[in-house]
Amino acid sequence: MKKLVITALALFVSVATFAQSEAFTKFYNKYADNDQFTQVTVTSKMFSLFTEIEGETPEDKEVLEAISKLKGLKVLAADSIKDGRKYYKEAFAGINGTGFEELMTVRDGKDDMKFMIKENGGKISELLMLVGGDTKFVFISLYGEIDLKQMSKMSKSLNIGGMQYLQNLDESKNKK
Amino acid sequence: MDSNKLSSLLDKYYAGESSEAEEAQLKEALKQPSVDESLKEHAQLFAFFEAEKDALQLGADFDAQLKHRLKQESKQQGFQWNFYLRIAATVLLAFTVGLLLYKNPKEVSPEDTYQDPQKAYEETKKALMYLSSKINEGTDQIKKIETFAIAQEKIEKQ
Repeated sequence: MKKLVITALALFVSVATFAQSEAFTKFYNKYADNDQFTQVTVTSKMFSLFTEIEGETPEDKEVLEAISKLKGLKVLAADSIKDGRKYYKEAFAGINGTGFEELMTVRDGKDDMKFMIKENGGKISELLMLVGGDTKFVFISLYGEIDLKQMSKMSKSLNIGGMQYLQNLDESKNKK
Repeated sequence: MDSNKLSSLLDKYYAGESSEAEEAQLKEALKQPSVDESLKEHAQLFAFFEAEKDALQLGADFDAQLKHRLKQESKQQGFQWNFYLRIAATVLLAFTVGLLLYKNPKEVSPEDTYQDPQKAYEETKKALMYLSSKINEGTDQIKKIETFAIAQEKIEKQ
């Protein structure tokens, strides 16, 4: 009986901590069957497995440090889609008014970009990143305990831009 | 035996006061076909008792039948034990699986896109790096504007 209560409690707690904003999940699930989108889900269980990965390079150390407090990551992305801005607007409309604060909006000529955060007791509990371009759409949800400084530091240690980094990563993977 | 005596014997018999000798007498008298019409039903009853008594005798194959029955019964009990054992095994299995899952939170969730931690890590790293670099791109823009604003203020002050 005691065990049952503990298990039920543990389940309840885990459900509560895993909770991701409904707005994102709704959008994510809507395009679950759409081949144009790439979807990635990484759960806290998977994150806990990362502890076995050795952080060899300084960038790995930074990444693992940032992950250590995360509970989950979901990515919905498409790089050759018609009218990415349409999805951008749709996604933003879904989030608006669900307790997210806009952190930053950037328009760099090509893409529209928005960062939104949800705070819980002075700490950021979820970070949403929304990117919309002519053919591009990216929607990332990060939840758990998020340290923005750590997030920013991560790529600074490399001292190169994001897209460049992605290219480098692909190349380095091929070399291996 | 006249019917008056017979009915008084019957009364005694039903009251449970008759002696064995009297009962034997009664049975014998009632067996007679010449028995009085009013006592016919009692005669039938006694005939029935007599018949049943014979039927209740143990048959020659009684022992064999009994042994057979006992064997079957023990077989049945064995089966029942098996049945409970199966339930117990199922419960034990379910409990063990539950315990293993509960004690092993490192088990990969079916929700995960990647089952391989290394691959999941690569993807997470990619996503985080992308996010991080975009944050920095954004803050760089803001810094530029801030620098511009500071410069503007300075110019205005001069």
